[in-house]
Amino acid sequence: MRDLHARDRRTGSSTTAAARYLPAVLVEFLVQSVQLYAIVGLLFSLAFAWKGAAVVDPVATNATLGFRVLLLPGAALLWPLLAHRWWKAALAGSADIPSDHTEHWQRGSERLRSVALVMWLVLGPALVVVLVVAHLARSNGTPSTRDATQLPTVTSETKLMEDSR
Amino acid sequence: MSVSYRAVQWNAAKKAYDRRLIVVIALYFAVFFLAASVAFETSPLILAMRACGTAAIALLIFILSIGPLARFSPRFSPLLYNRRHLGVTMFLLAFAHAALATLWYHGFGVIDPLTSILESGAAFEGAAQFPFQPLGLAALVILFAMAATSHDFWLRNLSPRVWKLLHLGVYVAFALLVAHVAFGVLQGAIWPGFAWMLAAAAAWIVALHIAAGVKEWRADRVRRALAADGWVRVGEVERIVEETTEGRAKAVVIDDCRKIALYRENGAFSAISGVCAHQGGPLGEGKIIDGCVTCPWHGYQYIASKGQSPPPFFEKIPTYELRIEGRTLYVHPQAKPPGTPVPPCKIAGLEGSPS
Ligand code: HEM
Ligand code: FES
Repeated sequence: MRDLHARDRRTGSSTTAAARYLPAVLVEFLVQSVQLYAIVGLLFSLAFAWKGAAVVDPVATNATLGFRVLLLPGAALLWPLLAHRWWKAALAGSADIPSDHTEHWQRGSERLRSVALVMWLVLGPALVVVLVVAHLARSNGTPSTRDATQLPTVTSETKLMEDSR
Repeated sequence: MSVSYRAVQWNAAKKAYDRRLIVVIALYFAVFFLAASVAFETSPLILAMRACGTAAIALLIFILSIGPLARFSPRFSPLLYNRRHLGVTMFLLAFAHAALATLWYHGFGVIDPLTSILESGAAFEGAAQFPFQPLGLAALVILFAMAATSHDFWLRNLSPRVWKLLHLGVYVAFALLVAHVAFGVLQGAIWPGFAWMLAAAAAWIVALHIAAGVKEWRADRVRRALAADGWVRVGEVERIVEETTEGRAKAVVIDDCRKIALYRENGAFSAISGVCAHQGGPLGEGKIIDGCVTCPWHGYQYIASKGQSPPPFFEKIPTYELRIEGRTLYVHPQAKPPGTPVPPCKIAGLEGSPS
């Protein structure tokens, strides 16, 4: 038996069709796209770690097994980019490592710090807003009363309740 | 800067660093479990989830503090050295938290966990019902992208600039996490003190970054006069000699924000880019070790007069020409292509240290 204590209202899975903040079709589409992307990525990453990495970057030619394993998650994530690189390098017969060593890129990396400063000047006030809203929301409501009045639909909670009967 | 890639480039210093990290996390877990099992009566799974979540956010705050602190004092630079391992550890903790939360709150349902997270808090009314879990998910995706691309292979193959931009995503992840925790903890009303700690930590991180950014921006604003022939005056030779010691550099900014490191070696000066080819570390704050300029961040090395790493490594940085006229040192603002050798500029009467 699991204790129900912590499975409180925060689960929030009790969705009523009328009050979704994301349309169900959109969620379904999102989830299926992610799944498809991940499956292709996983298969690709194996091929990439085994053969592709050394085609794209000759330094990886005699790399260790440990390194190849570490490549997997990144390759699964960035597979469209890497597939393109692999394709290009295989056609050209040589790797083309992107370089920052042009004047333009060099200037850009020297400016990154200022980008970061601007980012913090935006993030700072944004975080203040988040915290203030969260605090106000807290003093407004007594959230824990709402849950009991909600009729759960078929969710993890109902299933669990049934299980524990 | 390896010759062929290995999984982890461990050395004695990094091993010591990692050992300390593991001990600290183990201690944290021990204290957390002891304190929390007294304070809330709840299942060990929930406690483990909370321990991982809070450890991850605490580690993230520590990681985010190191960069700007190192810009205020070089004493913090050693912490930067192995920051990558801190980052990956933080991701693993965050992942464990998310996995436990998903298992607990979404795993036993009839719909799949991802759908369940995205729809969580769907019927919200007002901020206290805010769907905080998708925020955690978004942050986790960013942290995953960063951890997955943390190896030098990615740095080289995405190019340092794209890599750095990707890793600026940590700021976005931090903001998402503050919201995730603020609304998550609120909805649970677990322990209000935690919300105040979070607010204080967020304020500290923001203030620290803005202060460091402003310091950097001020330094970058110094413009140096162009001489008529297009060279830039750095200063009086004697002054520069006074300001430096053998094996150390003077960091110079010309032309709005172009950084140059002016290294003093064997009684002569060499000018190289002040931005490390690895992750943009401040080469002007490094020192010469075994005849090589050594970056204070992760120890990449360059031969100053050649603008490139000693063989078998292949990193290159731009070099600059120097000229002395009368008693004044000038630098040419046009960077030489990375790896272009430039003969050091000998200073009459200045001896190198016998070493
Ligand atoms: C898929 C992603 C995530 C999900 C589903 C998730 C879920 C949750 C849930 C349900 C809670 C409330 C827990 C409780 O009952 O105490 C919570 C709180 C928290 N989360 Fe997450 N989270 C996710 C990602 C993250 C990430 C990436 C972090 C990063 C550091 C994080 C840090 C925290 C912290 C510090 C708390 C407050 C302490 C706690 O209650 O555990 N979460 N999260
Ligand atoms: S920035 Fe990493 S070694 Fe210079």
